[in-house]
Amino acid sequence: MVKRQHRTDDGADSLQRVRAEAGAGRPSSEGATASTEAAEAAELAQLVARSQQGDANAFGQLYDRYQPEIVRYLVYRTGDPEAAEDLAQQVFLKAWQAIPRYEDRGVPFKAWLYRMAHNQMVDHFRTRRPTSDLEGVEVAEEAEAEARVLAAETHERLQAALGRLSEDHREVLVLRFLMEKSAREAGEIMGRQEVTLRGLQMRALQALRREIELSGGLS
Amino acid sequence: MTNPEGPMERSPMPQGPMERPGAEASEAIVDGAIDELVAGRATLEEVLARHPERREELAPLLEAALAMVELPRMAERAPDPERRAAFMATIAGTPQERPREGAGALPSRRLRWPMFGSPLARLVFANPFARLVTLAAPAAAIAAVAVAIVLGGGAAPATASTLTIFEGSVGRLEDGGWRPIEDGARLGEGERLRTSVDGHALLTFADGSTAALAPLTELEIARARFAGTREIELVQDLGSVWNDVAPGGTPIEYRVRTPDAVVAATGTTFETLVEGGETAVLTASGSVEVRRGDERVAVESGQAARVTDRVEVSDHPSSVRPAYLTVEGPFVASLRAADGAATGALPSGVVYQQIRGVTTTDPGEGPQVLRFLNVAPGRYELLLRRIADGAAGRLLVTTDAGTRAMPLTDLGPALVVRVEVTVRDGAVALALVEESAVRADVDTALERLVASARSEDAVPVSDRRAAAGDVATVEATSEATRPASDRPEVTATATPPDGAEATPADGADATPVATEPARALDELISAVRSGRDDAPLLVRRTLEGLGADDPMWGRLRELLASDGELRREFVAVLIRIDDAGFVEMVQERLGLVDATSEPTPSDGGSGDAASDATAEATRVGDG
Repeated sequence: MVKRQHRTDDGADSLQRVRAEAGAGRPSSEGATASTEAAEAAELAQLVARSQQGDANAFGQLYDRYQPEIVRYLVYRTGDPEAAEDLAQQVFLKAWQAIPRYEDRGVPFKAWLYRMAHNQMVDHFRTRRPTSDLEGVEVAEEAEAEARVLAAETHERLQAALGRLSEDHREVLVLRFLMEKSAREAGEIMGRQEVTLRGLQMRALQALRREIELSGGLS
Repeated sequence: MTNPEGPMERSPMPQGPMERPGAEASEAIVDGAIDELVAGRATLEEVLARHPERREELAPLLEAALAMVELPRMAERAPDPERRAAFMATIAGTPQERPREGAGALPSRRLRWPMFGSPLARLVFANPFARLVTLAAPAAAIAAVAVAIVLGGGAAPATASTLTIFEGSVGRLEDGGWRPIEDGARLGEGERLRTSVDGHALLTFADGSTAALAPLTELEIARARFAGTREIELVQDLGSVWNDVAPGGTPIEYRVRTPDAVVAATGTTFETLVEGGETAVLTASGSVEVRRGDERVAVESGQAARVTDRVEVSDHPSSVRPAYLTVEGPFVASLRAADGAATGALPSGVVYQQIRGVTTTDPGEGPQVLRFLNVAPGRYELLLRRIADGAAGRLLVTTDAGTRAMPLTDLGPALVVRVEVTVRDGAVALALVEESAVRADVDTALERLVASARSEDAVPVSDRRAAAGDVATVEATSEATRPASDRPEVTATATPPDGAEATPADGADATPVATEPARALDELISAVRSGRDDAPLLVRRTLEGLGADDPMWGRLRELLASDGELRREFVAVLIRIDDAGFVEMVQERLGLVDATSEPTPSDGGSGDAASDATAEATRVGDG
């Protein structure tokens, strides 16, 4: 079989590169030194501390750093890019209000933002029609040609199966596969130990497999 | 997978996973395989080839994983400059929530509402029960509350309530800092609690009243006394609390004090929302009184109040239309959320309502009806416990699309039905799937806790139904078990509108509900009593085609004559029907000489039946 090709655009990659968050990410890449990570962690801590003191410019930098990723997560979870943008604004507004109370007790700042985004998404669905997690997600240009014909129906069935999973199962699959978080990062976001998260993702895959089979398979 | 720096290090694959216990080793293998598949470092076959002894177990899971890997991704883009500028302008005028280090540390002024572009403004303002936009808390009010808490103590039971943590964590204020509390902790007066950003928890008081705390909620148990009286007072500074006040023989004073108002209840279910000093109240059942200074406003079932400079009551608290589950037959139902909260009843007669947005009627008073309004979409579990042998029953699902029935034919002691809750096109939709006929021990620890606290005043449902003659249950169940050939002709009481998607349960009987006369009357009465939004429709469909000499008129007339409350509610429903000819006909046949001016036997209020009836019509009309 063919190994997976990366299908996000260059802009996304460059953003990710700039945004690597020290101390909370996956294992260090070859190019990232410990000193760089420490510097980034210190910079982040400083921005958070200044924001806690009411420095809007510092919070603006946090917004620039994390808003694109939070939007992407919310698009995956809501299936509605426009709603995701609006929800992200609300997330960051709440974060601005609540950041004086933020304490890093094993929950990195980014994980804290994700939890707020998750709660905002849940509130959103309390009063609105949920769509499949991935509806509305535009496939990157280069992927379209490859996937359009053969994969569209498969994706649709998979999305439908995902839509039938429990919230926890959907969340862990989106974080691990679509947001490409490590088990540790996903655990931080979901408030679970890494070992617990591994069990959760296994059960999520089992549930997904069951739902796929119940709907007659993917092909 | 976006990992521009190059291949990831192999994720925490265990050293020698095969030496570890089976399940844990499999989890570790799958975890490592996910990393490899996502990064494109290995194919499915390559991963499986490394674990031939587990191939059979792993292959299906990794195939599912591979399907996830093949899903399309979206690119990230830098924030839109206009949106960013609007955001920065917004936070420039939005106060931050400072940690409570004494009242003096709180912000002391009210600030303006944040102004975004129209899409976000719509999201924020569209629904009064969307989370409130934060305003600064008035320091004086909080300071006054803080003083009251300190000075208002007195002898308090040491263990007035029990904390159940569903998700996340809960902190307790100790020596100026927040310390985590254990699930199951016993808490007394003076305890100040705060839920984490993902924290869901429940306080169960000694009388069985409960307060469900949403994430980022902060409150204090200011009073909790149960010696000869029942008195509970919560001081809620932030967040959302879903309060379920236990009914019972002993009068109760249940108050939630917020920075802006005091919400008082005597046996009801309501939600209090506080953010930055602004308060909103939603009454899900019964009635509460909202007090602000000298102003006192009753907020009835289905209404909302927003407390700003004054108390504003809204008749349309929700932007969604509700759905209902009606349980027919010798069963009592308990709905359980994934986090462990439950709304329903036990065979002992104990009723509880812990799930935000879901209420239930008392099954001892007739067919049990669960109402879904501002409920979180997701998967729930409905546990049906049998209270009498033999007979079958039905679950009626009433949504915008009409009413559908799912037969309950299993003869075991209990049955589990999966309930999928979604919100579609502004209405709650329910899908049911019968799961299994259950395990021996069906009680949860939480139900046992509530049952224990509330059992003093409870009377078993089966006893109360037997005392009431249980006509509905007997007829419904005998009907359901009678051979099909003996049953009366089935007609629909509700038909999905053209083009509308009916919501039959997966695997459930999609047959519309039968209008067998006695059952139709019972359903009508149930809808009127519980204030269902479809009550006017049901009244009209049930009564419209009846001949003048149909015995149902006499039966209904008797019921209305003997039950003043029902009569008042029926009149309120009648007023909502926009068909003067039909209303006149019903008035005449039921002896309601003039439904808009006739005094009602039990109104006990102004004596002005017209205004009372109008008020009632407003109360039930939340759709």
